[in-house]
Amino acid sequence: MSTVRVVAAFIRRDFRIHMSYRLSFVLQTGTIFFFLALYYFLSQLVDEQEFAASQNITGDYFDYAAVGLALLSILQVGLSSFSQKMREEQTTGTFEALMATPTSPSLVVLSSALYDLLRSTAFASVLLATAVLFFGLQLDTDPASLAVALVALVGCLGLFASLGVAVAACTVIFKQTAALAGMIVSGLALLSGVYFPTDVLPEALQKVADVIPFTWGLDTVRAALLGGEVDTSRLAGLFGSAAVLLPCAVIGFTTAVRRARHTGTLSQY
Amino acid sequence: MDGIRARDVTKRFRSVQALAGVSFDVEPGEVVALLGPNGAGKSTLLRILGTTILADSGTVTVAGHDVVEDAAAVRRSLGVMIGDERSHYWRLSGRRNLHFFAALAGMTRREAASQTQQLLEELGLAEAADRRVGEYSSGMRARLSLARALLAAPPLLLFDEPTRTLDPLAAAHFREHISGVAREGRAGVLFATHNLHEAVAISNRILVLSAGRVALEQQADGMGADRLEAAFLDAVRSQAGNEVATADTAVRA
Repeated sequence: MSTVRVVAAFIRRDFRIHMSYRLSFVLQTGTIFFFLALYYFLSQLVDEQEFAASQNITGDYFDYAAVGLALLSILQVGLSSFSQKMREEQTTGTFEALMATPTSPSLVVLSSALYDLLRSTAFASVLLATAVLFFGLQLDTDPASLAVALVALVGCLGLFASLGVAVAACTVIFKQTAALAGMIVSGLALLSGVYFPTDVLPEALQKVADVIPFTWGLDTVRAALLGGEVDTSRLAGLFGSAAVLLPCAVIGFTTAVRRARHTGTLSQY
Repeated sequence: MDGIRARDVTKRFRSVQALAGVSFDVEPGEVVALLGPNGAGKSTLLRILGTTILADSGTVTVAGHDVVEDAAAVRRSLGVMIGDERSHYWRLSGRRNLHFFAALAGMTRREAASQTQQLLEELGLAEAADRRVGEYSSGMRARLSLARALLAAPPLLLFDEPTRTLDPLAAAHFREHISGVAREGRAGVLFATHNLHEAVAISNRILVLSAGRVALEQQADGMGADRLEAAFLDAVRSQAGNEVATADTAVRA
């Protein structure tokens, strides 16, 4: 019960702080339209039939990119939010106050980005809805397909959180890690087929792309929402990765906090 | 219930020996002032007690709990005011800040609401409770920090220079409140300060740290600030010999 109270307190806190920056909220929502328009016109350059046939989906390049962008927006937040929150707590002076409470460091770090993850999921949903309403994205709305997409999304969230907590652990020790998060997001976007199919990559990179769990999550969500065939082994691999990586990341974060306690750098930024 | 027990605590940061074998006790309900020159190790010591820094050696127990083995229980027994006034969420109101930290202390929303309201009234912040902390004065933020420390009614309080940023009037109110808390038996207090008048005004006992050691340990009863100043200076100067002075040996008549 106490855990639920703590998680709810973090969500309420971040919602209120976020709502106190109203203009940023409005502008962020406004960027969705322009972002999608960019990919809509870009997709006019790609042969629809040929692309759909090669990618195990029923839609065109715009549909492919829209689903990729939706998931990437969650990945970006999932990966950067944990470390960004820790960094904010460090620079605003609240990190030590948090670490002096009876709440465990692992619960603090996991709860700290929960609101951002929920918000980014809502943002991704709005992105897809905008793509459907204004740009003709055709999603498979069969309940079974939506359920598979939702399950894959949960697996992706677990995976993103594990990477995000690992970066947050680095933030506790090294302080400035925004570039690290940016590098991981860019690397994953490049190798996982967010903007383009992985089969255009050199063969060696295709092999790397094939063993990245984010690729499995993206392929599963795309297949479920765009009428393709879902590979259940990839979905299982996604959950297996998240189940292993998330506890490892939490242990890493706890270890980082312990090291900062030892070096006396918990309150430094 | 046990207070604070520290034995042979040491801490080194690279080439700096911050604490070099500190031992002392703080009894329940007692108010102890921690004095010392800059860099004497006061903040490090308070942070070790508050579990945000780990000692290299020695043992520390707070309310019977070891600060390393049972840190969560220690944190439940402590109210701390260690960070500066930035340690609040400035975009949230004072009330929201307290509600948030109350949840992290394990309080229910109902308990948090009632305890928050009581403390805001007690500390003269009720009218500003729903204003953003960013709009508060330094004094108000210090009182909010005190309210946060008192939220879960802990039996022990740790303060690091709590009146440093306050004007004389606000500092006097702050001291009155701390004295009241101790007088009513609500908590024992260990506070670091550079203000000798403050130390003799509200504490039962004085500890002087110098170069990472306890240089003077003295009952504060009846001790004026002038006498304390002389004892403090003598104790700090004689610390080179690593001997613990007492007011009787340290004060020049």
